[in-house]
Amino acid sequence: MSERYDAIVVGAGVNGLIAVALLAKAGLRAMLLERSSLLFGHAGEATLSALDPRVVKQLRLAQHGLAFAVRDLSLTVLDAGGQSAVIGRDRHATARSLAALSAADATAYEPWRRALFDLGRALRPCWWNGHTPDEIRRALTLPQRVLLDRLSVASAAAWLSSVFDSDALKAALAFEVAACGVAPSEAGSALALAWCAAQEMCGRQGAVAMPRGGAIGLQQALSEAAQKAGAEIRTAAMVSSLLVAGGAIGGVELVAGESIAAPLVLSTLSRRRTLSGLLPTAAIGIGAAREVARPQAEFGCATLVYGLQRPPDFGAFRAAANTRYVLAERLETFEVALSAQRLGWVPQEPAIELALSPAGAERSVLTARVWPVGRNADRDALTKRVTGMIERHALGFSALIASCDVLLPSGGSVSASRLACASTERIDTAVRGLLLCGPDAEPAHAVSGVAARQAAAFAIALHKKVAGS
Amino acid sequence: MSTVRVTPFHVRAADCNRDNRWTQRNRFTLAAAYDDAGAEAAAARIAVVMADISWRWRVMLEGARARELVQRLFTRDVAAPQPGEALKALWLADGGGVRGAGVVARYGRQSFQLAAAAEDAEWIGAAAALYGVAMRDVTEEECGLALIGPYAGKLVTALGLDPLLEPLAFRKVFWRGLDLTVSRFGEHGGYEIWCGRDDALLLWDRVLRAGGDFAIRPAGLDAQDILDIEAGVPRPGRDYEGAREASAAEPLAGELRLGKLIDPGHAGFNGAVAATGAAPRRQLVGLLLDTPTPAPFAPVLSNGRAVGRTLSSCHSPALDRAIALAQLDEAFAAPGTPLTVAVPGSRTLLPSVTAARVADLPFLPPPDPIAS
Repeated sequence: MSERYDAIVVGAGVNGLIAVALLAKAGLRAMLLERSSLLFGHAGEATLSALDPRVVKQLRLAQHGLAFAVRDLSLTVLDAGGQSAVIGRDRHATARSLAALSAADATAYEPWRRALFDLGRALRPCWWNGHTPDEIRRALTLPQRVLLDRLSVASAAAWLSSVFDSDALKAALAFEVAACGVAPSEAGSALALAWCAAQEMCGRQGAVAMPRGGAIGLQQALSEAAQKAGAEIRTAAMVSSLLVAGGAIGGVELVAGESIAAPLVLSTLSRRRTLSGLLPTAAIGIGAAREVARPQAEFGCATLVYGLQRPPDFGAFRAAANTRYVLAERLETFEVALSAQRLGWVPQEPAIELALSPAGAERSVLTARVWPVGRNADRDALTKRVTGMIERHALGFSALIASCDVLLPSGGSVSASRLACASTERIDTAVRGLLLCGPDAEPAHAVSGVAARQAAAFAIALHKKVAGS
Repeated sequence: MSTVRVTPFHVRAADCNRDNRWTQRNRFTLAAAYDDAGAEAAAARIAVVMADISWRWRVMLEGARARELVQRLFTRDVAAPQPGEALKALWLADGGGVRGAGVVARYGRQSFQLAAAAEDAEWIGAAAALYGVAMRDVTEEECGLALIGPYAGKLVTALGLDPLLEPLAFRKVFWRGLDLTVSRFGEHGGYEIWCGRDDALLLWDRVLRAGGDFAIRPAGLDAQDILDIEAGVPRPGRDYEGAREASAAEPLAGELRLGKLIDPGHAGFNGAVAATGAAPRRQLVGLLLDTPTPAPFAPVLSNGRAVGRTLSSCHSPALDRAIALAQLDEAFAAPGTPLTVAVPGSRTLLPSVTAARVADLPFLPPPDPIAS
């Protein structure tokens, strides 16, 4: 072993940088190992809906350069008949806009949103502090308990259908669920809407913000915070295996052959990749290894980042500035697309959310989030399909494309039950000192950093316990 | 339409089974007793019996990482023996609960055979798949006869086979036109002879003919159970349910008197941390009942309070009384402790109570072999 650290974080990305920064800030000798030679390899998510406010505060990310180009993107719903509606912070404007789609929906939306936001706020301890919904039931009001019981078993599709009339509105709201990695038709997926409502961006509940510089802007701020805190960051350092002795983690071995000792290892890789790809065979136990190795559908949201020569013309929908568009005609769009994905095809009409960089930005970038896409999907076929769909709404779009980065989903599919489990179930493993802190350890797929914060806190407590004894 | 699963000896077993008494073990239909189970068990102590043991689940584990697999899977260093040797071992769930017990025989550098009283293909197969090791079920490919009794060695000699074989050893022989494996894996000090399924009837006839001088008789499954209980051997599926959930912490090896099958020096077997950290609260003991009637799976009481339960129970012809294996709270497990057993009444709703006394296990040692 060449060197010894208190903790090693495997994999950069937002969660890896948050974890290593928090560990270093707590006084641990922490190192981050990233396999690629660039710390900020791809453009990534252009919008943020769930970045943990505690992380922003603890790491003082604003002082390290994190700024937002847009603090609260509205959501534009596109109807198949050419109508559109904009859902924003102003409830009166939202009601007026929704009336163009359906008068009933215009009336139903605000009470629905209020009840959901109330429940979301009440459930924050579940997702921010690691409790299960059952543990905080007593703190809920009776209507909240009734709503929680319903959301815990109902599919988002069924719940939205019971409240709204407009196909386009239901589909746009269902995309929020799909973006979490949960199929809107899955039992219990309605809870994902409460998870979305529980999040806070830029001090606003349920807001979707756009950081200045996109995902790279956030990563640069995190990298600076980590390095200021004393964390070491090594790029071009691919981990080949995790070292285990006596049921406890002992360090990592790099592809180059170098071994680095550490009693704590935090992995941003998926549970499956970490436990069955990096650990010695069955190190977590034969039964657990069998569960991890069991084939499972792995799909999620892919992100396509188009660099454009100039902003595209969305015709009739251009009116709304700083907005997101959802291209999904109805709830059935999700089901049909999911069926195709399960057959291994790129769906003919996947659900897509588009976010255009704000006017005045250095360069024009359109970010498309596409659901459902398999982890090993054909990038070219996906790009062709998505570009074609955007072209239908923005004529001449293809001619404006200067570059296109495709980011396939990294983690496994999220089951609705993951939203309701305690954080230790997602973070801890059967190997002492090995913790998960990546997207797979989050309650839902999103750039949030909650898992990284919780895993770092867990690791710091373990470190103190060992140091104390 | 379901078919009856029988062993290759079934035709002969059916001829000998005068009372047509059959039972099931490991999904095989087997003779419960050919005549009188007590007499068959008694014969195993004074002469020799042959018992069909083809129902035991047997799998081959072969592949480049087979040694690594068995090291991880079993509670003893089963890769240490040389080819031709074997070890008894357990395999545990992740949570430390006993899933099964069996004999692991080493056939080659990366080739092992597991023989067990209860099937656990799901777990062993899953573990083998993780290591890229092939698991082949050979239960139906071979069949075996166990020779139990003080004259077992003499019978082996009379058959023209070499009886010089250490316990937990086996060897392959070519014998009068048949490919056989002779082993000594059993708890009762005898021999096992294994052959291909097509040679089964030939082997049965030859053993029965050669055993005539030693008053050999076939023994059914009931007699085998009597011998097991007298030897204090708990069996999965009969006395306890092996752990089925991966996280199961029970049954504990220590509570089944199987602790000796866990080698503390063999680190890294599955469930090791949980199994070595858990403290048994109950003990497996013997119970001598003041009645000739067995009392299987009945509550055991002390001053009217339940302190455990019986497991398998039988009438022991050698002791001429009912005996039982029992799991009791530590405080009541000392030999000689007087207890009572609540036996469900056959004609009344109220159970009848029988006096019992705790006895050391085994009740009886294995039959002494007569020198060949």
